[in-house]
Amino acid sequence: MTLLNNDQENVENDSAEEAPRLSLRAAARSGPEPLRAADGLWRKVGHLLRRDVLGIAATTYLVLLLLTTVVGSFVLADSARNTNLHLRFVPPLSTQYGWEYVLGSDALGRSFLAQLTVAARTTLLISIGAVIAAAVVGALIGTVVGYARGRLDKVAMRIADVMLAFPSLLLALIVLYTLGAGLGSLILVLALARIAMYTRVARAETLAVRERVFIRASRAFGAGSLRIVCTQILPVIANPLVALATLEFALVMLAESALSFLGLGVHEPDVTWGGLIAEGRNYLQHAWWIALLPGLAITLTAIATNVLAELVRKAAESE
Amino acid sequence: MSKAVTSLITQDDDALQVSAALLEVRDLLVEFHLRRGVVTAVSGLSYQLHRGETLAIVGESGSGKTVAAQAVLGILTTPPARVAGGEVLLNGQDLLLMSESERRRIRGEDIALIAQNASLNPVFSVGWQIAEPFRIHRGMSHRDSLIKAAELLDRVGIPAARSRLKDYPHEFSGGMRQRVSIAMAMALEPDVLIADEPTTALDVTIQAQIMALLQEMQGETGMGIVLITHDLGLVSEWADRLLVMYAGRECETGTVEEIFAQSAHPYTRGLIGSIPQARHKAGRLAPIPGSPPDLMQPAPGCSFAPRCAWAIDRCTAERPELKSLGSGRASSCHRTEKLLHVGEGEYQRHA
Amino acid sequence: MARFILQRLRQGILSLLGLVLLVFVLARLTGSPAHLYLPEDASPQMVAAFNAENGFDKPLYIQLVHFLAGVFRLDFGESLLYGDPAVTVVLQRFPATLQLASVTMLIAVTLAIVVGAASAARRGSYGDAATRLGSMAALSVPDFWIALMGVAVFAVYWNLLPTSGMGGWQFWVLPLLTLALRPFGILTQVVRASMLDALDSDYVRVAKSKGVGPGAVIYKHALRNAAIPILTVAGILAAQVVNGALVVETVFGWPGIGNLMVTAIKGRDFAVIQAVVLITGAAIIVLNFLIDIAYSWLNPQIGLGE
Repeated sequence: MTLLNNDQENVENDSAEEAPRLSLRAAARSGPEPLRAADGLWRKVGHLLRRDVLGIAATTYLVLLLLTTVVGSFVLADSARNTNLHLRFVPPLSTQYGWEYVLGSDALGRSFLAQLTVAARTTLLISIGAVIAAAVVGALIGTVVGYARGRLDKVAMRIADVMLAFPSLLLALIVLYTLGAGLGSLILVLALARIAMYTRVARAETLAVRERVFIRASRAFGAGSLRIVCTQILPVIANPLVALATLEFALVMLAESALSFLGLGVHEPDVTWGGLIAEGRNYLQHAWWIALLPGLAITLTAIATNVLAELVRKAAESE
Repeated sequence: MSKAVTSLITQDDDALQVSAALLEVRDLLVEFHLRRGVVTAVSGLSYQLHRGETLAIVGESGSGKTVAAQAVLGILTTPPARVAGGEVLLNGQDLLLMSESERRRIRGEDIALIAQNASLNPVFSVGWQIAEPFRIHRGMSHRDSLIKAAELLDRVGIPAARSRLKDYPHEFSGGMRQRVSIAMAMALEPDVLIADEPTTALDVTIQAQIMALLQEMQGETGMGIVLITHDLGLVSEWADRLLVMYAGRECETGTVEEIFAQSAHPYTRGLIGSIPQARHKAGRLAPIPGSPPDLMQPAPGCSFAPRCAWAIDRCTAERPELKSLGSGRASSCHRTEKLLHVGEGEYQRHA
Repeated sequence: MARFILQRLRQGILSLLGLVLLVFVLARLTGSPAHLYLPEDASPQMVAAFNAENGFDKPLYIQLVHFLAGVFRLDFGESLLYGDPAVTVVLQRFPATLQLASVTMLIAVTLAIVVGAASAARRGSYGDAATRLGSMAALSVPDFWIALMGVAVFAVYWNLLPTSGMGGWQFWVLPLLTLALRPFGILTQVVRASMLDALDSDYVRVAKSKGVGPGAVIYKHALRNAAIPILTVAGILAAQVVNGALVVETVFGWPGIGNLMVTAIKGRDFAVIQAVVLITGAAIIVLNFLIDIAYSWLNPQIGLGE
């Protein structure tokens, strides 16, 4: 969806660009103007960033989060495991027990900072994994059916409609139930629920570019269909798919944390932010920070990626 | 259209009237306050519109002609737009000094608008839309206002008018839709009608029908029409006077005959020269080389100078003021005198 | 109209059939469905007896026919936890969720229209910026977390509201607010964007030029046009409210199908799980049908039956 950009820039007609459009770019593109492959997207994002305070804040937050997660999962791995029954429920914002306890401790006296950092790694890995899996599979299906058209296309789109209409979490629950919880099935269900989104966008984009001169030309030279899809269509339609994937990240992370909260996430000793909140639910009265802090982390990360997604969408559309 | 200047003489019954004009705009200044800075979209625009007269305002897109019209109507989106100065006198009353609710009472009653091709709201029936002014301004019931709407539809030449009241805009052809728009604008017989590109989306034969209908309405009610267009062919056929705008400023004004015979501004000459073949036939403006200036950073001299084949050093240093050439004619160009003495052949050679 | 209903009915039945098949395949994916229906510590004899009783030892296609026949008779098997037929258990809980979801959407749509339209009308103002930031935050917050925080602050700390259950209006406040947050955030953005488009159109300028007042311009002329994208998104979100209900009902002990589903999963009550999925699926198909009808009412250019 759309938000928080530098609008009010042009004198006339600038609100049209604001509509929540994921695949509308396809409709806007017509005629055989030369196409460039999906290069320079991040450069354009960087250019947009320069004028956007919120965008800078979001990017800074995400960079810091990634750095903390990578460094922290080495430095803090031990403290995340070390229990200390003398230091149970240490309240946060005090350095009296050392910097590792600056965010307090949990029921077993483990550093909560370490817990949050280790959980961040698992949360981000699962979310990124699910987003990439869904994007790759969805984009491939969408491009193929968009290129092939016909009955296959119709059937695929009906299935996509049904999948998007059905509550994704309910679907995920029943699949998780039959497959059993765990890292692999978690990524699988999270990806499964969102594939249809990429299929739709990739198909719409493919329909817009498939009749372009260069495809017709390479078909005339006898290139195979799959080769055309991979070498000619996918690179051209990559930008809107990247924009969609950025937008989907927050959604997938929220779904993951909901599943973890319900106890259908990864197994011990792995834990995600959602799992930490579930744990904190038992100590709401005495140790509020255990539920509060991971929720804050989820919210901030979701806001930051949504802000970034808005910039990526703008960059992808500004061709 | 009926020759306007005569109305100056016939309007002697209203002695108190300050200005004989129906609508007089003086030194209109419209600014857009954007995050990047202030854009002056209309700067020092002045014109008069008399009873039964059609004044064409011509310019490229972004020249400020539409913004100026919206400022006159008082329907600019504020912010970012702001009318920063000037006077808009309708029947001698300054609209800019009125409160918003007073202005609203005038809109639709004394002054009305026809827009390009989507004047009609797609999700309401045409009958409901035409009848709306009667309900707002006259407090009519829904039933009575629909009877009025049917009469209006009939007047603008919609066949089987009564049975079409319940139809939606998409059920009419482009030309018929514009007839409906005219019916809606004419509902309360306004003194001034602003027609913003009323025929742009239509093909040439339908264009002529719509313009003829407007002229017919004008003959019946004596209203003044401000015709905003970029189509000089249309102007040559249907307007009495012409005002050319460039980059928010007035370039030249005068009667259509005078300006088409010998324009006193290089920009106008460029526009007229770009009409294909016979000048008095319909045609769109072919672009003059170069593009309009950035209104955010106005250059010190004439804004047209970078694109002007006649530009001299003075043009880029000093902004030309609008100079009266007598009998309502004016031009803002340092080389007006020169241009007025140069024939078309020599002009072409120069360019 | 009749053609439209038939077409939608056909599409609905096809979708539902797909869902039924999905459940069937999933249940057989792990080998014998006995593992899903029976407690985890069931003895081999119990499994064998269960398989024979329910025909799970028969070939797959016979099982499918049995399964479909059961679905047609609304017989999803007996609930392990409650002892009653699963369909009865689910239908008992359904109204509580339906009430919660409808009031949630009512609140979310109304607030989003008021806030989003005001934001679009004052584009670029501080209020507009605050709305955009606020709606972004609203759709980024995990609903179950905000529910927990609500309980911690209003129920535990200040003791103003009950922590769980269903009853007087106090019981509705926290579940409604937490559930409405996300749809409100998304819808506010949609309302703002589509209102900006509508307010920038010629027909709105012409309406203003007729002397239509600012309220009628926004809420009559522009909103009626903006309503179509709003309705589309609201329809999708209404179905997705079930997602929120799963966790929010769990937090607040709300006696609806979300709570039931989570309990059923923890208690390995597969009959109830499939009943929840299929009945929710049917409800969503009915919802989409109603939305299609609302479309054609809102937009005269969309006829029924394409």
